[in-house]
Amino acid sequence: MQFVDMFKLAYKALVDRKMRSALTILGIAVGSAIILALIASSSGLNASISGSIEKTGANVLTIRNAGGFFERGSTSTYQLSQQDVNYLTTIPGVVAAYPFYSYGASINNGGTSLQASVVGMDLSVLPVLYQGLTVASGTFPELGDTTSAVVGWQVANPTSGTPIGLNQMVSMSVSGIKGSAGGVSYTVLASAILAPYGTALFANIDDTVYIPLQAAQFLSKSPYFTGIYVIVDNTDDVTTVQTDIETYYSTNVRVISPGQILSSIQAITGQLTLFLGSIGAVSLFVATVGIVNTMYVSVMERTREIGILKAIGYRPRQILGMFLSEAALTGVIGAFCGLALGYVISFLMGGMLGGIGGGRGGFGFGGPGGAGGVIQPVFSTELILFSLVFPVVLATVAGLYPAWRASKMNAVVALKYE
Amino acid sequence: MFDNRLAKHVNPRDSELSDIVEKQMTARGPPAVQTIDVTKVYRSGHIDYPALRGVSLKIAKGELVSIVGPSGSGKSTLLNLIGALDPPTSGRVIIDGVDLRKLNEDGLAVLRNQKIGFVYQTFNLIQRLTSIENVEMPLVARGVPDKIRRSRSLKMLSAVGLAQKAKKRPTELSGGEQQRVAIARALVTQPAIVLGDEPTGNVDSKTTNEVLSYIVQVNKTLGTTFILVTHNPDVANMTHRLITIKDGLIEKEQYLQRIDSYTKL
Repeated sequence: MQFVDMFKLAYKALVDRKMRSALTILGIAVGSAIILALIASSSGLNASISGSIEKTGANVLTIRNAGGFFERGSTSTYQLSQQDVNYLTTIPGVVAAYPFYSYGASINNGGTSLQASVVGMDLSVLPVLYQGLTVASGTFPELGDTTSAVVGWQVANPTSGTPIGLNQMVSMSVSGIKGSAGGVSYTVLASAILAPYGTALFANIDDTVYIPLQAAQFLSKSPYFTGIYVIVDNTDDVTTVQTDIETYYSTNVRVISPGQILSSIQAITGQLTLFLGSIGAVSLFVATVGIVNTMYVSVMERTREIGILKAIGYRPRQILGMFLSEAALTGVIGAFCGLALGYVISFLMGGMLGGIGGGRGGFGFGGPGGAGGVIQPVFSTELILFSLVFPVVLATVAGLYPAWRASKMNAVVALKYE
Repeated sequence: MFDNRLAKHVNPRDSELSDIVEKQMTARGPPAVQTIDVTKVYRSGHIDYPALRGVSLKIAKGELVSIVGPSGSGKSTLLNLIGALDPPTSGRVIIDGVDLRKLNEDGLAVLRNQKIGFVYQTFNLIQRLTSIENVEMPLVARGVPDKIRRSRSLKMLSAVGLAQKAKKRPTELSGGEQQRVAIARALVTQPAIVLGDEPTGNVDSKTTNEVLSYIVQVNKTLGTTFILVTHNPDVANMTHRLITIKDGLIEKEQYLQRIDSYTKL
């Protein structure tokens, strides 16, 4: 018996029972689509995160006081100062170390208050830390100018409130300064406004006002920094440098490396993938059981027909093949429908997952235009092949038992069936 | 009840008459069908039900045989045995020189495909296929290429006068037409024997005559052996030999017409 004929007959059998076939196919398509969408979205998420790390900060370590924002049970009261900056530059593999101050601030904007950050550091380092950062208007303050600031896009163009123009005054209330209970009043001149950027290295550039390091020192009345950015010359050396620093300081400082962040995020996305994956797998399993059931019913309904086929001279293996190809064909059609459906769902999922990988209030690893926060799903060739082959395999296996039953029927008994 | 012209009552004990028949048969070569003391016992729980209790017969190539008998006499069982659909409990069945005991399930299937055709009272066509697709089915099993089997099936449909209904489904055909499609299907593989289980049971008398005339015609032109189980005297009267079965045994055999006066060797 020729394969072409077997599948032509299988197709006719499926068409004969349109509703039943359609529902079984739908089951396969949905299960397959979910698995495809999920894996593609997770791959996209991973790619997005890895991509933005490569772009900004793959070779930047952030050193912070242990007892600060990132405190994790450390009771150290060690504070970072210039001597630490000097030490860090001596570590092999380190290109430079840039100290910074970071505080929360409330921007007074025509009556309304907007939350932002104030960061004091060597302003010329900004383009080095954040690759691709550009100025929308104005110029960076001159060296020695402690009254001007570089203002992030969202601060200058808030969603509610009056925009702040170039060379206008920005007045704010800075919180967290030692020795002051409430906020400290502070005013700067906006000499430059940055183009929209997004988040990087746990900072939201668009929501920050950058002031020169000396200005921050005056503001904080303290020689102790909030943290130090350490630039490593080679991404490969990052782990060694990190170990060196951690060995030297033990629990007195907190070292944050992008690699760590990446693995934590990947662990989370891994869990997510597993969870959603099991839902998809269960769905596909249910669809497969559906095929077993549908086929079993078909075989019983066509008992007489099977008797006729045997009388005409079809061998048991041929009858097995005929029913098995019906199951396989269901799988093939379901797989293709699932591919199309999964493609659409991937983009929907990408939107959902975007909140994790990028955009405002994310984990700090969005890229340019991170305000959008949409993840592009990634469809590898292996994934597409898997999505096409796996449902077909499952469907064929599902059809095995009913097809076997059909092939083993006694022709005489079958012919008498009502 | 049956036409007795040239009727010869063949009594197994009547050696002279059986010799004449034997000679007649041997002249036509090995028998198309031979059963040697076949029995068939069905077991239900602890109860054995003997459907056939020792049937021996020889059917020559080109014979038109009818098998009659009361319900439950075992005639359908005998047909299933001859059709290689059911193995005997004891005894041998030999079709066209092939002892069925020598064949496994695949071998029997191939035998049925190549040498045996079936026609049933309820037609047994596949509803979702068209007439020509139904007729093609035995050839599909054999792997005959598309174009060849199309033309052979069409020829067969023409032979039963239904070429114009090739694309119609069984639901669109009358009972008589469906039976003719079934006959075309049975003949498409050019089998040695065609077995009919009440082939005219579900059709009106006009169609019965049509169907019978096709059978006789095919028998004359192709020399196909026909074995028909029937209750219909009109059918029986068309045949060469009438075998009566009762209680699982052959009760009597009657020769109604001389085989060589109708069919070529």
